[in-house]
Amino acid sequence: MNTIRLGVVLGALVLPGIAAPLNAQTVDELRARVARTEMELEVARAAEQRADRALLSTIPLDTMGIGPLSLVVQNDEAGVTSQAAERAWQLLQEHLGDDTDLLEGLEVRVRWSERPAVEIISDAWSRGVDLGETPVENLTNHLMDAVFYLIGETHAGSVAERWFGGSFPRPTASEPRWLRAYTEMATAPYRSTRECLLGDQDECRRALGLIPSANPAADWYTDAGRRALVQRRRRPSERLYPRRAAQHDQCLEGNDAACSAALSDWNVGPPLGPMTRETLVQHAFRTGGPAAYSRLRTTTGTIEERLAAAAGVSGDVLIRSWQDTTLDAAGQPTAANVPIVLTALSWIGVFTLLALRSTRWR
Amino acid sequence: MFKVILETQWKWVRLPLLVATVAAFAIPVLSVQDAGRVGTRGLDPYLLLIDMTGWGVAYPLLAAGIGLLLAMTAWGPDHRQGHSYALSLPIPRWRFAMLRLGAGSVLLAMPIIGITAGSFAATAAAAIPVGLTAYPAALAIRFTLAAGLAYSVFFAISAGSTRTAGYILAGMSALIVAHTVFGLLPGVDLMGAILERLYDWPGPLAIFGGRWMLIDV
Repeated sequence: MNTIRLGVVLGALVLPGIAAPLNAQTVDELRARVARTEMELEVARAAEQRADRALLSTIPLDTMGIGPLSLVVQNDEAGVTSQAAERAWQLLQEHLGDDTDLLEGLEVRVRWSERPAVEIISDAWSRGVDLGETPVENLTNHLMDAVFYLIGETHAGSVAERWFGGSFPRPTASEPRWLRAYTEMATAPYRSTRECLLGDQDECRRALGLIPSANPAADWYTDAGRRALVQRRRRPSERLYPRRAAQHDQCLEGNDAACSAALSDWNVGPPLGPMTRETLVQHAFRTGGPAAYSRLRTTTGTIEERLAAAAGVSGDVLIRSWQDTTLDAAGQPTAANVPIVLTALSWIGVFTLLALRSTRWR
Repeated sequence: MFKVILETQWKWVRLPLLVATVAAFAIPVLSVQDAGRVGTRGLDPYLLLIDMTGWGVAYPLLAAGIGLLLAMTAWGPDHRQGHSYALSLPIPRWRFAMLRLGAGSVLLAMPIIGITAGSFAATAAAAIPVGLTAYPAALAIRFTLAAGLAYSVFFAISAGSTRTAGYILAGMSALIVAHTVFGLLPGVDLMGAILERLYDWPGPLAIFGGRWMLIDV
């Protein structure tokens, strides 16, 4: 019992000392800490690069060129990489036209980890990628990502980057995902996407975020759309953000002013997401043919003007043809197409013949 | 003779077949029960598509189950009686097999009519959001082909001798063992490659693959 009492007394003496208020950091101290942390980060990055270089020096390497771009690759995996490099170079020539000199001096390293994954590294880019079932196509796309990222570092426009969801649009080796685009248009809870589906070109512009706007929540969305946007976000904590929580609730009850207020702090994007917007970019590249990417890069103006320049047609024609292609892609996904029907009938015939050839003698 | 065989096969299979027919009618009807669901953002096509995807699994399973049921019941009693009935008939074996096959095909029409009626009734009753389309006829055609294919496959297996069925079972067992053994080696996926050949066009089971959606984009 005495020990407990002694403990309580000592605790009562010591705890106030521990719980005494700390001196707050001054702004200068805080800046100094941030600067120290940044410096430590730089040192860590340098160490990582040294480690990468050391690791690469232990692996037998091969260097191949994609035009003026150098590709360093483990030579035991050079087969897939060279096929991907060949395809990437073809696409780069196709879309960059005379601007392939942008690639001068760029170096990308492809490091194979446990198959079928690779890591693509350059001084400003590092990404581990899973190559899946179509390694050549996926590696081509990731090489294109790396190359266009490196080009985009110095040449991309920030408006386009934001519109595209953080990275500058680039051509890919894959088919545009038209069915996915159609599904998003058909299922997104916004009026502009539905009207776009029904053929209204201006609503397509709104849905794709092609109409420049300082207040996207007001210009690209209706009141129901704003409510749907708020509904998709998590309700802010009542305790930490009582005003925002109240706005959230009022918005869902149908108060549009509350919805606008709730959205005012958010970076509201276009109704159609980046994957669907990507189909428009890929469509523009395909329509535009040679040097489409260069035209996109060098043209100034709105996103629509730049995409139209890349496609080499007017904005109206580009959007109309994108709309038509998207609608065509819907097709009849449930319906079995003619080859599948004929195949099924053929197999039914084969198995029927097999059954008729059975013997009565067991 | 066909009438007699049809009547006997009907007697053997009528109860489970009626259950299957009711199920075939009910699945599309049940799948659209929430189609008119109205949220704060109006009719919700996305949720409807998710519902349809969930129900889509039931159609190929039912088609395969009905095919198996009709094929097994067509030959089961013959197997049990040592094929004495077939041997006593003054017709060639192929013709007898044809009669059995034809009788089963007629009975197969019941669940097909069930799913066709159910699909059309369901799409007539459901509020389908803009942008989505109902595919009752396509679904019924697909179900017909899938059930017909399953029936012919299982009919061919059942029509053979016990030895044939044994070979097929042994083959499948060997495949599973090989998959287990070779599956330990890195990069070897035996079963995946075989299933791909079976389910991807022009494989025999291609009709079972893909999207089975009554309402889709």
